[in-house]
Amino acid sequence: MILLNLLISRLAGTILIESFFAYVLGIRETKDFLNIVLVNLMTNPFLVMFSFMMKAKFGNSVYYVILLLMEMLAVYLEGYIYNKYLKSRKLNPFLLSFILNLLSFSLGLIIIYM
Amino acid sequence: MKRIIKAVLTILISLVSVFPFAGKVHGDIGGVNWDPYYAWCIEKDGITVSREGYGQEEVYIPYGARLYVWYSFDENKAYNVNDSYFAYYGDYSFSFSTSISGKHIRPVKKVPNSEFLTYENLELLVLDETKVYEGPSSDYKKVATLFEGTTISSDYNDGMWAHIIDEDKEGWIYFNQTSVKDDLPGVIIKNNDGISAVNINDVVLYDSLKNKDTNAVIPAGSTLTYLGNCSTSFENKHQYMLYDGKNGWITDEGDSLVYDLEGSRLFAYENVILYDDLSGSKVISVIQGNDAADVLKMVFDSHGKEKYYCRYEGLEGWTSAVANCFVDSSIIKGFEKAFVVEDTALFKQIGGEESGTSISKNEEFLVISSTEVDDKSWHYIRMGNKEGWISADLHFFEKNENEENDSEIEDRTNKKVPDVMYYYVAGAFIISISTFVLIRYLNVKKK
Repeated sequence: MILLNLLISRLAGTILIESFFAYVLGIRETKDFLNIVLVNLMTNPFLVMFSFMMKAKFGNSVYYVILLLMEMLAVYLEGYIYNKYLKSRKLNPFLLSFILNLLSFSLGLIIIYM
Repeated sequence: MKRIIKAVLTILISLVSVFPFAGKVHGDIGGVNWDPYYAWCIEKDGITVSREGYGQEEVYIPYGARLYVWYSFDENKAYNVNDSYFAYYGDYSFSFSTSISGKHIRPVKKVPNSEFLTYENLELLVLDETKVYEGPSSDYKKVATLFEGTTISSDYNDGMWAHIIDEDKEGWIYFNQTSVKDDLPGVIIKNNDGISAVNINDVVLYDSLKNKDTNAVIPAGSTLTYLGNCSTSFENKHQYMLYDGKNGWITDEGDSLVYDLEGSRLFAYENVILYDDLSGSKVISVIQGNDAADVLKMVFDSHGKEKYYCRYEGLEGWTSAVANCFVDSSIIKGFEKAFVVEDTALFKQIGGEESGTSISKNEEFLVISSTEVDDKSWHYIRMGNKEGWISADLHFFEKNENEENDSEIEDRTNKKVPDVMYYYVAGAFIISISTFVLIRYLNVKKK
């Protein structure tokens, strides 16, 4: 259950942060927000669990590398989906994905280590 | 300018919004400071603290009393500032919070080389079919089965799981059932030293604790031979005994049996109080810290805890060895379990938490023991009424900068991933694929 709590709280935190910043960056369409939520549901749980597993298996050093690679993959996948389905074109979809992920990741780190 | 204000506001609002999740987001904030020290009570009128494991029962600590602060748990890195301490005084163990530590006690001395609670090199007797697992949890793969009557060596146990070694078998077995449910323990520590006991009242010898099949009724005043108990259990109500050629279980609800332990020695870490009787109404003497006393006999009280009758400086009396002392296992005729370091009235089996998972920031826990198996490090922890193992990967100790951590870092390689983690990864992968399909469906449909 603890792992599940962790997973849900990370997902909720990510969705909250990314949705908020998406709004700030000019996303207004409800459907776009739905896509942002679903895209995070698609990438976040797998990213978190897979990186945890790598941490358990190989230790911290490998964990950070895997986390970075997984984040890059998530940025690409999210950008790909935004590019395909997002109505709002105020920003390049890949840039939007990069900014949102960077913000959620950074804020997550700030909260954790504050 | 408007954009900058907007951005700042966004960050602030986001932080406030996400704060409630912080406790669950990360498990490495705060931690146990495993650095014991002595402290004096400096409050002129003394202090009153709640005793561990006894609900609201309070213990009065007089001015000038010396406490042994076993560990502290700090959590002052985030918004929630909450330090708590776990300490011993006399026969009592208790915890207290920052409010007491700051005002009423003063640390005086660090205690070097504090040791984890471990029991090593035991011979175990299998009473019932018992499964052997790869790790200290039933989540691990079953690797073998031990059958009734088998004797097997264990190089380490923590009070719930034992690591066994044999010519062809290696793994972990669960052998702490007596205290958590009325079931027959599958394994007991084999006692070869022939400790005897005399029963004060009539007692029943059961074939099985589960079925309560009566083997014999033993009249008061009989002498029985102690064969073992579920020694990892802190609630020693059930003893495996030999009487008149018959083996079976005795349920000792308190003071039924008096064990002959003459020749044993009790070593006091701290002052241990000797009382005139089992109710502890009058103090006879105090065994000074770092001193030892002769042990003459022992009973289990109604809570299943040991009470020793000791002789110290010519005076004899009873003491409850719940804290601050241990009875030397090499002298006490096979009673390896006698190394008791705290009150354990609320000892329970861990329930429902998956192995290898992280622990939320706000969950306070106590590290009871630690071990390494095949270069893998494990900590046995207690959180509230739950207990279990965590991988050293998930440890929470605050690092001492002076300590060399290279070996720890090295230990983190070649770790075994618990099965449950694979299930979570597989589940997350299925969620990812399903969500991708859903995204496509929703968008394509509306187009």
